[in-house]
Formats: sequence, C-alpha cells, structure tokens
Amino acid sequence: MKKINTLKITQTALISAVALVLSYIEMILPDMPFVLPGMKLGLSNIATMFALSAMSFPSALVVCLTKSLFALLMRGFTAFLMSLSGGILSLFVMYFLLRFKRVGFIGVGVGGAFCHNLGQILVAFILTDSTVFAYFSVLGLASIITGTVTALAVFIILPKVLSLGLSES
Amino acid sequence: MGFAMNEEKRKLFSAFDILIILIVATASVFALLSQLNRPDDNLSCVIRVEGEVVHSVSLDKLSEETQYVVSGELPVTVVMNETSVYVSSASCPDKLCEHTGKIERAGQSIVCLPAKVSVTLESQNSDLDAVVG
Repeated sequence: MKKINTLKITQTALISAVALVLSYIEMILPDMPFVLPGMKLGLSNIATMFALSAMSFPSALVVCLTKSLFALLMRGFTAFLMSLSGGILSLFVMYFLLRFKRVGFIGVGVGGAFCHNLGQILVAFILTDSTVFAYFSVLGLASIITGTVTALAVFIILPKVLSLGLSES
Repeated sequence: MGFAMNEEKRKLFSAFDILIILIVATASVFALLSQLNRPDDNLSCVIRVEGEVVHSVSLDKLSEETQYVVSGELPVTVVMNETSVYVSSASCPDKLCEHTGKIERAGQSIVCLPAKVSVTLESQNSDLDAVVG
C-alpha cells in the first residue's frame, strides 16, 4: 500500500487555504467597471500555479477543486461551473507548459490565465448562446496582464518558500 | 517529496513567452476587429433565454422607452429605447448585467449568466458577421 505522505497533505491544505483567502479578497473587491463587468484579477490563480510548480499536479488539482467548492458555497452553482471549467482547463495547460524547461513563468502564467477565460467562455456558451464570445477579445487581452501578475507573484514567492527547507529529506 | 526543487532554475521570462503572448494577443485582436467593424444602423434588440429567442424588436420602431420583463426563476427587466438598451433590474445576486450599462452598437451584448439570459444588439441590414479591411 502506498504510504500517505503527511507533509504533502499538510502543504496542499495550506495552499488551498491561501487560495480560499485570495478568492475571498477577490470577491469583496469591487468590480473593474472600466474594463468589463465580471472581470477578475484571478488572484487565486497564484495559489494554483504555486501548487503546480512547487508541488505536483494532484496537489494543484486539489487546490483547484477546493476553490470551485468555495465558489459553489459562496456564489452558487453558476459560479461553481465557471470556476471549475476555467480552473481545470488552465491547470492542464499550465501543467503542459511547465514540462518545457525553456518556457518562463510569465509564459506559463499568461497561458494559464488565457485558458482560464477560455474555459469559462466555453461553459457560458453552453449555458447561454454565442453572445458570450463578445467577451473573448477583452478577456484575452486582460489575461496577458493578469497572467503576468500571477507569474511575477509565483516567481517572487517560490524561491523564498523553497529556501525555508520544508522539503522532506 | 514535499516542495520540489526543480523549478528554481526556471526563468521569469523567455523567448517562448513572447510567442505565447503573441498568440494570445493575436487571437484577441482578431476577435476585437470582427466586433468593431459592424454597421450600427437598423439595430434590433434580441433577447434570448438559454439560446432560444424570446423577444426581438427593431429599435427604430420604438417611439418611447419600453420595458420587457424576462420572467422565470430570476426575472430580468430589459429597457429599450430608440438608441440603446440596458438591464434596469435583475434578481441575480451579482448584478453584473445591470452594471454592464447601456449598449448601443451592433454586436454588443448584456449577459446574465445566473438567469441564462442574453440581450444582443443585432444589425438587420447585413448578414455579414464581420468585415475585414
């Protein structure tokens, strides 16, 4: 039987908690009406991307699912579907990009943010109709900025956390 | 196990990232251009619920402001006049459709996801989706 790794579980739970706090901060922040209603900074993506680059795909998946569950409890089923679709698609794309050693953090962040929006638009399309593709251009351009912010945060935080020597060895 | 150490050598920004950003930017700009080049005359307001058209009216024929209430679990009130359309009240929790404000050009839309309602301004005199040039 595979040994359950307590350290790994604790770290995943910790990052999930951080993701929830970031989700909450984002929820109480006012919208950015000058760009597009409903547009978010995607702060909690920092937690997902961190889990993915510092730990593993399963850990990041847990963080992602926890985030979606939080959206379900706080904002309802539509928000849950939005969070889940965007989260899962961006997770897979970031995982794919991270396999290439020569892709920088910003590339991973922007790719992830863009696919987060793409996943959400696709589910919104299923829920309503093709009208939602009108949001594609603005959200696409915005993901370049939000993805860069996410990447910068992970780039700054990652070495500091790793230097704490929390690794098991 | 635990925190992996293999990401420490990754750069913040590389040539590959420029490529990724370019792909994202190109896709977005193309989408934007296809929206901007739409004619604005003979607008009609089309209201859909779950993709089905429930109400469609030509804005030119409206002499005064009229309301249309999309009934359902979450009622949405749409106000239309000769030049613009907006959602005056919605019963959803986040009110994003109300905050969208007035739309007055072809291709613009207001979407209320919780109620699955979309309001689109469509141009009647053209069956072209986009004019590139």
